[in-house]
Amino acid sequence: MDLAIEKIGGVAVVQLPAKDLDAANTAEFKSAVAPILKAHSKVVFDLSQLRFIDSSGLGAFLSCLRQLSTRGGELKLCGMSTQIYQTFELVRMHKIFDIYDTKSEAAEAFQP
Amino acid sequence: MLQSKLREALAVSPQRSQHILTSIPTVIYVLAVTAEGFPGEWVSDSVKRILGYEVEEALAANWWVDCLHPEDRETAIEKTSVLMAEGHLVQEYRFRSKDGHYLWIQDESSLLRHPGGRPNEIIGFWTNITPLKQAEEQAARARDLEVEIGFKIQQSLLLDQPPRDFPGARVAALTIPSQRISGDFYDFFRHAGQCLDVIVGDVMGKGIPAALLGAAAKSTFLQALSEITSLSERGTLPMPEEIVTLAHAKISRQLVSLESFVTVCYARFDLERRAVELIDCGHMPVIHYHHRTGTCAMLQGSNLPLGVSEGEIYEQICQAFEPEDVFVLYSDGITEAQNNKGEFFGISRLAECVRVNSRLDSWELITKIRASVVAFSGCETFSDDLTCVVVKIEERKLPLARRQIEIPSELCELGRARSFVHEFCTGISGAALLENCAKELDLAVNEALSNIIRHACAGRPEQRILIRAEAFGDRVAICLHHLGEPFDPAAVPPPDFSGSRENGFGVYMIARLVDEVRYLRDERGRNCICLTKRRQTP
Repeated sequence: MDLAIEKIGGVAVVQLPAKDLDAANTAEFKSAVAPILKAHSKVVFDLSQLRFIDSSGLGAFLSCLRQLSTRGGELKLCGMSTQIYQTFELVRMHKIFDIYDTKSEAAEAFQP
Repeated sequence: MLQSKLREALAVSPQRSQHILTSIPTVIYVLAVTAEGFPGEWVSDSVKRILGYEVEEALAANWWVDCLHPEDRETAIEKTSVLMAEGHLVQEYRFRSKDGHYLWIQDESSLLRHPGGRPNEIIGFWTNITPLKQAEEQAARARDLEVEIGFKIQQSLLLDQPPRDFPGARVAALTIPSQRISGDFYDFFRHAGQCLDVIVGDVMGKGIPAALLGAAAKSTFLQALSEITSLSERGTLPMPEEIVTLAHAKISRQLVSLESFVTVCYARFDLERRAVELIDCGHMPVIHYHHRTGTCAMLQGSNLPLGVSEGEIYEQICQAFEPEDVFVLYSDGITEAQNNKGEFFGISRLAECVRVNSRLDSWELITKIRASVVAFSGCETFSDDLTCVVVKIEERKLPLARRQIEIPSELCELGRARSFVHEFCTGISGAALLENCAKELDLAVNEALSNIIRHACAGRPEQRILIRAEAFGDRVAICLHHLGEPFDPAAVPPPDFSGSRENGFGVYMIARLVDEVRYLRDERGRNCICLTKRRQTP
């Protein structure tokens, strides 16, 4: 899985290329994103391309959040469709993640 | 007085008395009654042989109290007050012998009084009853073991789970095992073409023999069915009377030689013809609740129980039924449950309970029957097994649409499965699910499939999973059939919403996303998860 990174200030914005993030491709996503999480401490996942996420996908995001926060880093999410947001709500993950409408809003939300 | 007489008698010949006192099978003792307690005055020489102590040791202060088993000490000491009040006491306790082992002792003591009534002394006998106690304990263990084995036989061999997804009928079964195991059994045979056979039987007698005979009788019916089926023309279903006749031929000789018999009710519910064919071999009458009239009728045949007469000719009776009718097959444990006045629960109370609760689903009805019997008898345990099967006829609804696909057990198939479900749900002509509902069902199916692929069929991509979709006017049902490990949703811990665990959300999500989740075994023995989503109108 190729992940495109866009830099906004000191923030790495990762564009999720897949339409679906499910048990079939979470392992692939986790290994593709691992070097990015190591190299950056301020990370935004842009989910505007994402149309479907399941519990494995949510689990992958939780794992990323934990990896970053153990090193003092932060993860924010943006660009969620209503359906994706509803899936987050279903397991109360909307309370765990910082969620923004756009990537610039998410990037600006980091403490300088 | 007794003591002096004894001494007198024994004094006749010191040699003889010595011999008697060492060889008697009990220890005789004499205690003084003083303000401080009961110091030992005299003890027979047999104390050495029976308990291992020298006479001097046995007369030492506190010897008796010290040798009592710590768990028995308090009670044994307390009971001496009974001796003082009533003059006589028999008690049992564990007592430490010289070699350190505890022996069970029966201690029988009497209080002797002065002519004025003042207590004088205590004379008593210690008898070693350890062998007797061991035999009792062994017998108790054997009884417990029998109950346990019998219960296992009953649960594993005698009672089958009723089919939960038989189209056109809701079937439920109940058993309350009694303290002594009995030979109640039931079984269900599903046939193609909308036929369901229900067999309820009761073996005479109790205990493991009855349970084993029940298991044998039950398997005989299955054997008879499969033998006749393999001999009949393809596609023809053997009649119940043929099956019972062959089963009887197979088992009656054994039953006669074991001097036992089995009452059986064999009922075939033909949902296409809307009729039940019934053979009643001395069993309790079947209760048939007629929805149209709101009344109960009893269906009773005239055949003898299996094992009574080798030449019995079995005849079936036929009864038509309609949707919402209810049938109740049961053992006499229910009707013979007694209250504290010695009255029986009886058929009419059972029938009334069925009539009053006939609107309920079969499982709820059976819960009511149980509650009603428990309330009547005032207790939860019964001397006989309570066995009951309820068959409720449903209005048969044909699905508006039906489709299925089969996928290999691989995670990369999840996307295809979601598309299949989504297209099906949104494409039902005139009864499509709303987009939102369809997406929720997609996600629920995705979670269930992902669990099956990762856990039930772990590492076996050659396994096939059948996805069956059915649409009705008010709902869509998606069933996932697989041959992997069965799944127990009750064993799944609740999800952790703190963000500290990355998995464990699937089962919770499924339950939130659909209106009904059922885990069952399908007609081919495959494990099946059925997810139902009700149709909402915009």
